[in-house]
Amino acid sequence: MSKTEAVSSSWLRRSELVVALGSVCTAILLINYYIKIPGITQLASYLEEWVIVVMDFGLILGFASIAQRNARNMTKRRGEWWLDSVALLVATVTILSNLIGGRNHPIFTFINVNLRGVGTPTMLSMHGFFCISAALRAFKFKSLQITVALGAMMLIMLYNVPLGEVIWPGIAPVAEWLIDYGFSPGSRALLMTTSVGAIFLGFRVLTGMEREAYGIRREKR
Amino acid sequence: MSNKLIVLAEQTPTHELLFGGLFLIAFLALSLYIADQAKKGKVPYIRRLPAFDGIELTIDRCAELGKPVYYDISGLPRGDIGPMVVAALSILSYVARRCFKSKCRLIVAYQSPETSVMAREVLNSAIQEEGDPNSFQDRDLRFTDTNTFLHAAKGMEMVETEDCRGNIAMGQVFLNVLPLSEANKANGCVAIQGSAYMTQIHALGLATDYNFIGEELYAAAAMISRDADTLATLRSQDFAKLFIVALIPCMAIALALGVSL
Repeated sequence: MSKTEAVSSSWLRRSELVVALGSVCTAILLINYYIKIPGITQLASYLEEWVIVVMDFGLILGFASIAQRNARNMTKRRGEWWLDSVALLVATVTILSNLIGGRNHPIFTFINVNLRGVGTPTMLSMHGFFCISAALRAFKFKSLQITVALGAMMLIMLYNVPLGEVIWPGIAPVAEWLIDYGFSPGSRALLMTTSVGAIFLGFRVLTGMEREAYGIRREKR
Repeated sequence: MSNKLIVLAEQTPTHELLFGGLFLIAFLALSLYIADQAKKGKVPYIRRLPAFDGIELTIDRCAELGKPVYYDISGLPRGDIGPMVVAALSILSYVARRCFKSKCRLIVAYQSPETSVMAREVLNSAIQEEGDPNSFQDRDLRFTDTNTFLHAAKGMEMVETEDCRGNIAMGQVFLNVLPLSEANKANGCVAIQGSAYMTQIHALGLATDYNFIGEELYAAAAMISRDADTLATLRSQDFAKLFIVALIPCMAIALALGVSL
């Protein structure tokens, strides 16, 4: 038996186990939503606490993945390796300072306020320019549908600024009508169909039909 | 998250819970019936979504040009967003298989660390199925940032520096639609995006070449396998929507007649 076969035959790697785990967890949470059975409620509560633990492990894995990639780039001097080294250094210092002194550690606070706190709004404002440029290109009179969308958008935009009322005092009722009878039904219809889609996706997970997302191959294709 | 779900169930009136439960059971039973019929040969016809043609065209174009395809899994797999990330992973399996078959390089970026393991499994499966072991490099599976704007910035950077010609973004694509479309324009990328998240969905419709909007994202995830039982759930889903559509005028009439609901 080759090494690959040995790994794939391990019961921990069996696709049935992954599907069964997903199905059982979904079934417990679903039953608990509709019927209150003390044992099931307790189990559902445990399961939901485990979600947080699993997510935390996911964070560790995420850091390990990025550290591995950055370290490889640094050792091979590949791409912008010096930026990768700065990212890795900052991440390590942030984690260590938080582990040692908690959220009030001066180094952690410094990084949070002076690096992350400044960097995030900077990126946000940069994106503003990209968004304007992209929106200008997207909202062109290319077809009838886009023209209608553009007209509605202009009306709502003018309604939300004081200038709109100055240009045309009748803008408020028109814009409110559009919001109440155009936007609301449309978005509710979309929301309802999306919810039905999500329910049936849950059903496919529950019954083990949704295998592609777990990376489980089907025998027949 | 746990308490939110429990509180929601406790706050919902019993008759609403009962209606929800019956709705669920009825349509799940219908799914099983249609799946059974499909196994007997009556496979339901499901219309092919145009975005699938877009994905195939994009991958073929990238393979011809020798340029990579960028695949973006947006969103954190928690709460309401979870199903979108699951659908994005399903679509990734389709995109990865097509890419490896066409010998096209694929770069996958994900927003949440939890997605890492699942994405890796999906890619490993696709490699085993279609490609050779060297068709995907570990460095092409990249974590970006949980912050959507930073995730978008990293996506823009990757499209630019790796000279991608196809940009496929699935999941909770909302604030990154327009920044990514800017990168697509600058680089000549074909943009295919899919999201069931309501915010910015209009921008997604306007700024992309092909898209999966709303429920189409979940339907696309189911259509990938082309299995009779999975297609049966899609047909059942259509019946559920028809039922809701029929229910709306009935409820309106009932309300107009003064029936308390």
